[in-house]
Amino acid sequence: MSNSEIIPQLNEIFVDIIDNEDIKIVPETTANDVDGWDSLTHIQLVVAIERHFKIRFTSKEIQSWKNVGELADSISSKL
Amino acid sequence: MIFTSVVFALFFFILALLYYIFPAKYRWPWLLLSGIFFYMYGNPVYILIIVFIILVTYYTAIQIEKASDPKRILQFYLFAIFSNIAVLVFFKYTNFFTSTAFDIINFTRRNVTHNPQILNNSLVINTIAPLGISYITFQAIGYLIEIKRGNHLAEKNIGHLSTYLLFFPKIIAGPVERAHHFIPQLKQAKIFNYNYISIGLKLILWGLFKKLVIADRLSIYVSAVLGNASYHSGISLLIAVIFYVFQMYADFSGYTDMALGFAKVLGFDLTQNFNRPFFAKSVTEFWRKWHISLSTWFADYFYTPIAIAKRDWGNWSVVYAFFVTFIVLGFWHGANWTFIVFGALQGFILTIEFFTRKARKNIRKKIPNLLNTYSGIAFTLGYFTFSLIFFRADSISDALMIIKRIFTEKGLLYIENSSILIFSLLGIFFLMLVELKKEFYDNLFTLSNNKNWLIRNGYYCFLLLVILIAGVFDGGEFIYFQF
Repeated sequence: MSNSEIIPQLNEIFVDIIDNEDIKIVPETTANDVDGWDSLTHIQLVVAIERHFKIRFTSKEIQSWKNVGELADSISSKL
Repeated sequence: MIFTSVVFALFFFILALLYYIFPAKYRWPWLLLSGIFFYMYGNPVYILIIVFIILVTYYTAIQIEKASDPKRILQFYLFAIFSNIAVLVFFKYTNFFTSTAFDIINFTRRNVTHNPQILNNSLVINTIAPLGISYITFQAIGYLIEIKRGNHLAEKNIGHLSTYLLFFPKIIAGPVERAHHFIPQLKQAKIFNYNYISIGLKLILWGLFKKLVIADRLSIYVSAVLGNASYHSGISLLIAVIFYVFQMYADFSGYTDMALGFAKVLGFDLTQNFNRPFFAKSVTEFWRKWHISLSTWFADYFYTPIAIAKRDWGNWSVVYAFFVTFIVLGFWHGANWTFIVFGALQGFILTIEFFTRKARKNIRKKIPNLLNTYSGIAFTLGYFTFSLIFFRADSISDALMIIKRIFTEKGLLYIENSSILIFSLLGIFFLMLVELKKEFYDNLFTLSNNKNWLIRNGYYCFLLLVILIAGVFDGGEFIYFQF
């Protein structure tokens, strides 16, 4: 699956977890750009993403993403 | 050497003067030398402990980076982390752990084996902890974690690493600076920059004002009442507890402003520690605005790894991570159950706020914005004030006694000297006025950076004059120096 397919799915998860209909993420989006994406929702996001794509990240991966693009890369490498 | 002392003023003046006279390449060695002098000024022997920390951290970081065998990396890493924690625990917590152990032994003797003989703690260490040990070890640990995670390269110049850990403005009470934020600044040639000096001096002045005019004035009433809590009425205790919150903020943020100011004069940017915390609308938000350098340290190296590791527990992973993080954060302040309760109270409210996020969001949509803001601020400030009772008290029973008396003990407000009370209230009022302006009306007008020379400097003369007239010059140390 390519990033262009992954990111719309991620967007749905973000909207659901952060509870904000207006979220529009792009590969360059970082936690600073999204109101409500903090260290608390981050864990919930990770869990929801893992369930949705049926994958498992390592702790190291989770702590290495700098933006949505890198997160999507991580996902596509596991699919 | 306290920032508000004449000795320190002299030290800093000579240091800064020579710093800019020396050629650029001698500036960091000069900073290191002055850091060592600053550190050794009070208790010279303890520099040996810092040298130990530096050597271990320097050597193992390079080994972690060089090694390719994961087992070997882990060995170096654990050795370094353990060494740092061992130093911290030995000096700060030995007495707490041994006395708790003896309490347990005596408790079982009395209640289980019915042996009336009481054992006294024979393992007490009668030594004060080395200056700034909590801050130095935390910075070293953070540095090691970043190297282990592969986010940053190990520092090859031991002089630079030493200067980072012994940079005098932040030695005693932070900010908990990240190595990768500080060391690159050290490698840049520092040139004399009037702007930096001016910003630095303004920060120092404002920090002095907060410490000498506000915090130490409040401290007089707070100490008089909370120091003899069992003699005071509920209303006096309540006022003292409220004053304490503002004293704590003025004291600690005043110290931080001065630390940032001294660093700025020397051309360094340190991390902001406070971002107008009293305007936070929830306790969760409060902890993003209060002692930021420590709370982000805990978020990155404690909370997040724990929450990730336990994420299969669902929401409970967050709750678990909250409690562990905040109890350790509380305990970091000192070896006393009061700090543990202080931390647990934060964990408790953060849990409640976490589970009510969506519900609160829905409520917010239905009530006016202003009501929302003010009720959030009032609740947050109220809860933090309540938790600080434990922070300030000598023991849990003292804290409970204060809380009980606030609600049950009728009586008049204690006023020994009405001017102290008036100046205290004026101090709080002025502090909050400045913060309110920065929070909501920052673009409206400015006194401190006004284009008009007269207004700008008039404001600074006003601050200076008030410090000289109303400053409390025998107020003593900053609260956070003890941690």
